[in-house]
Amino acid sequence: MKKRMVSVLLSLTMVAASIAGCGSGSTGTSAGTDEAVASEKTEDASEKTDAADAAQTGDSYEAADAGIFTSTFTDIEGNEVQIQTGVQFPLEEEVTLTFWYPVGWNFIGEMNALQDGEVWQYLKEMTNVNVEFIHPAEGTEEEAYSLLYASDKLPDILYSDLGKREYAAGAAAAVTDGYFLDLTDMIGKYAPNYSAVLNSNEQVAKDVKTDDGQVLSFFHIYEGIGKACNQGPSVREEVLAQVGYKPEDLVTYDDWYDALTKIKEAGICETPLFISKKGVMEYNELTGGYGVAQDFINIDGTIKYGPCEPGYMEYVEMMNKWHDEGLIDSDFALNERDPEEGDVINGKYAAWWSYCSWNGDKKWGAKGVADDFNLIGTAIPVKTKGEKAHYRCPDTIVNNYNFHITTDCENPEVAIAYMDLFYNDVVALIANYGLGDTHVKNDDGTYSWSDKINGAEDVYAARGKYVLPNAFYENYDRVMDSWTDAQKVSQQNWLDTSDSAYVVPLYISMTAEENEEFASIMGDITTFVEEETAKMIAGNSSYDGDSFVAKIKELGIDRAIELKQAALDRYNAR
Amino acid sequence: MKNSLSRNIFVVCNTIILLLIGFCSVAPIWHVFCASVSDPSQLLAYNGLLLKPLGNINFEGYRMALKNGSILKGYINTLIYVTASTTLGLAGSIVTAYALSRKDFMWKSQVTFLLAFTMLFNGGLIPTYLLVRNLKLLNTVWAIILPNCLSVYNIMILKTSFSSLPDGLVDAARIDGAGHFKTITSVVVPCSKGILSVIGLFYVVQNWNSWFHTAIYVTERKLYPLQLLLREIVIMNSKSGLELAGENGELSLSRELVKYAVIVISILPMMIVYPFIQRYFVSGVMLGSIKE
Amino acid sequence: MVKRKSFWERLKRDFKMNKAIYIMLLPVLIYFIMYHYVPMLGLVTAFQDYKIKLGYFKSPFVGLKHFDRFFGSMYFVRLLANTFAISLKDIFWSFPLTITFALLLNEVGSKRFKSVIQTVTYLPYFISMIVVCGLVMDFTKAGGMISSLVGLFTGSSDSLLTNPNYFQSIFVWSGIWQGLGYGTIIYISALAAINPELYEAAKIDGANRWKQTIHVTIPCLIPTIVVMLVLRIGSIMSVSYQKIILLYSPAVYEKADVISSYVYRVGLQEGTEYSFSTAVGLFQSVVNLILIVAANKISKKLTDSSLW
Repeated sequence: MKKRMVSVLLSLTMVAASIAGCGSGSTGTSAGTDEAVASEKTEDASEKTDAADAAQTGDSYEAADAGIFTSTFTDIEGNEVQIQTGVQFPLEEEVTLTFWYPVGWNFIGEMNALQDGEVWQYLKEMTNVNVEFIHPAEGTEEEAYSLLYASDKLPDILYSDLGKREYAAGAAAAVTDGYFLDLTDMIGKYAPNYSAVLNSNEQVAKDVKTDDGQVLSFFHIYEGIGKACNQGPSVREEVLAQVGYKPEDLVTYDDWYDALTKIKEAGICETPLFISKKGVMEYNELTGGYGVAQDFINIDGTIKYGPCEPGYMEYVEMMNKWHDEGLIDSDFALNERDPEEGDVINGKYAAWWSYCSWNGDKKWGAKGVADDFNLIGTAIPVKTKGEKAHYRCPDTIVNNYNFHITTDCENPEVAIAYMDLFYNDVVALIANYGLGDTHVKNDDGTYSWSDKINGAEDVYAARGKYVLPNAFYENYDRVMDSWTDAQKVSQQNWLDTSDSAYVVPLYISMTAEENEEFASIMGDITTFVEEETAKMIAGNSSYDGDSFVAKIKELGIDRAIELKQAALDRYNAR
Repeated sequence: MKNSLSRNIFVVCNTIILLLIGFCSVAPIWHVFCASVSDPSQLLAYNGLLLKPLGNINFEGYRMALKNGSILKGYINTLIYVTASTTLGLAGSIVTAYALSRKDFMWKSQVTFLLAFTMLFNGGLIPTYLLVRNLKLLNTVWAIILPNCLSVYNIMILKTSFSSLPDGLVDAARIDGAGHFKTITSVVVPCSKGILSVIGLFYVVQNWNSWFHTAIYVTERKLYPLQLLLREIVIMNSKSGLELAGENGELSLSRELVKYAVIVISILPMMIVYPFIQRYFVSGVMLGSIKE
Repeated sequence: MVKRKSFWERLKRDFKMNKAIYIMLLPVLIYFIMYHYVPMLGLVTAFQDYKIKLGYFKSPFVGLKHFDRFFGSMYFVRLLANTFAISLKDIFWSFPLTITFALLLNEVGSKRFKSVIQTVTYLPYFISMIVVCGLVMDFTKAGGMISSLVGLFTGSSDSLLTNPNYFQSIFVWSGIWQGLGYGTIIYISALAAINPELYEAAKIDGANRWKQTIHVTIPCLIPTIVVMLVLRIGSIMSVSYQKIILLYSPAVYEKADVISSYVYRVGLQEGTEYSFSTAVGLFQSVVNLILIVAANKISKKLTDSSLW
């Protein structure tokens, strides 16, 4: 009953505002307010006026329409500022939003629930919106997610993961089936900040929208240039040094072969290279140099299937040779994506795939490895010097996590406006860096985390408590800030020598029927490819190059390529 | 009375075999105990069975597992659920098994088959979820206690045992004018202490270990049983949990210990309870009650 | 010739005699109908392209499409074979071992010793699967304890889990180790329920301990063994995917991939579709049904005792 009242009040307010704002007067007022804001804040002024400009020229989302309010918030310095919001905050009456969010338990730490975190409390103060999180039990996220659709009432805000945990038939079908709201028309009115982000970056808009141009969810977006490739092949520098190499020296496959062989002969590591049980590195870093991957590849808009291309067999033969010579462990078939901690501490391997933030000696130093342990990212290997590999972890601006507003939400405008807040620079800054002494201000005006997080005993619990574990409009600099030189060099090495041109974009989408047909074809193909690759590398497969490809074709890969191609074409046409 | 030579040899061999089997069971349990208090980095680097804790005794694993106060609540919750489910289960099982063991009950075979059928065919997660939802039991303790409180497996075992009770026993009671219910309580149950304690143990163990129903039907952490909480801890600290967390995931050293500490915490009650129940397993049919 | 009583008359008589039974059974039957039979109607999704929003009645009917996909998979025969092989190996070894263990325990004179061994062997059942698999992987990797042991015979102490030929044995034996103690409980109880007078009679007839075992103990155990065996046969097709997933890898798919692990893996790619996995589950259930009915019939013929 109360909620009904609030929505009625809000709608009336909006109607009133739109009637009042029909003249040019209101546009002038908002510009005026923005300039006042600009004079108070420092770094975000230009972006603010840009957004306001875009709003005024009535760009695609017609943000100049009535419904844009200015609310008073406290910014990161503690000053009061006016920001654009979709509804008037704080609300007259408290509204509760339920939020399904499978965040890791390690972020909750000692709090009772995620909403006890400082940022959420701050937002509650500012907006009078109470968020109630629903966390599924660890390990049952898949079942819990699928059961959501069977329950009486969906939570107001729903987290989805593109490609992993989403409505099986795709988000567009979820809208026609009546689960999610179609936000396309509503974000213009209630999400000025999100609209501004979409307007300012064409690539972002392309990734976020569906093939039909709809906007269906709030995506987790990285600010600015986004998150550059943060994972790749890494090598222990101190071991290389013992055989007279430097990480920069590893450019071609031959270089790798020489270095690994020398390491093995010197007796430092018995099986220097670590690869996962599928026979490749986590993001296909070792196959990129041959122009293939253990997945679909996108060569200038044409889809091909990596294992069918000749480069794949070249890679497998090379791996087979390395396996026979003992450069890879003979039971690599049991390996997960990176080595067990015990093996790293024992110094069993010299090279493996790693996240950038685990490189250097920051993560491993604390665990009892050798004193001079230094894990550095190396270039993605290629066949001949001067070439560039085209397959690696892509730079990300739009991430795969996204948030839908469901049709069971009783206050969709509030929900949309609330989610929109995170894309506002003022709020985003706080979400990224926290209030009070959680952050420190640097000389150049940027912010960083203070020791409250970086020096905390449990870094993740601290992140959960003082900032957002993953701010929805995330400034990746804050994570990169805490990187050591070794880590920065690692990333640089990956970025310099390769690009991700061949990676198939994540945001292509298929219809429900296409998806089902695709899945039923790929089920067997993926099993076959993984199994035979592992066996071919170990040398006991009954397939050779030609029969391998022939078998994949027999299983229907061409149809799958067709389907993927169609999806890619539609994406490119957005 | 002298034992024959072959008997002696047999006894010796038997003892050796049993000791071996016992050792094979104890060794990994002892390994888990030791691992739960070992020094983490030495533990990670170590391969093989532990004979004693490595390095300094380290209670970090227990501290981390228990620091979340909900573990205690989990214990209490589990106790409640186990008691309720086991009581319901045992009562239902005894009654059903009795009915199915009566040769003169005309529906005996049919009902047995119907029950066995449910062990084989399962509608799956969604229909059961829809049922619980429609019964308005979501997020209540009944969603935890009721589903699966009766196990056909246990009923079948009990039925077989009741069937092999001497006919004379039951007939005697019936002749004395006892109704079925009285027969159960005054004859069947007292004579079946052994099998009843076994089935009781089966129910207790099954309910103690269960976590899936709660995870699916209940979103309030306050209602979580111990096993579910412990499972969360183990997953978060395992490789699979790490992959879910992406680059945010990290195994801090002590978390390795948590995995083992959790097992110890959940085994302990079972270890304590078992020896007490054990003595009932071997009570057999009370003889002499037939002889008139 | 006496006319056989009509059905209704027999029903009336039975009801009068066993009224209490009917009353007592009622709540139990309601429970089973509600919690087991009603959800069973959900099996209809195996023949549909089920969408939750549309429900059971409006989801499109697709007949045997999902079954075709499963039977048509290039791996169908292999999955079936692996599932059977693992289950049969498990039954073949675990039954005799569990029963023998119970018999051996029964022969122990000292109550204290018996009790200690029992407690100790029953504990592994409670170690969570994740840890057991961790231990198994530790012992069977290259140079691990068990691999070295095997290496004494084969000459190389390679990792065992990467060799398809060893996978099933490792899977089955680790399961036996974990469940042996717990599984003997039922037999120990059954052994204790054997009427001592039967033993007396056999002794009088001059039977020694061994002959007593053959002629008294085992025959008295038959009903229990039969019921356990028939129940176990009813789940041959249902090898659980959890442990398989923890131990297998692409290199050993050919012997390790069972029906449930395949469906789990393939199902992950599909997101939230259930029709396929329901269809496969239905197939498994039907085969289990055939097996359990056959087992029940055979046991009735051979031993006079059966499940129903």
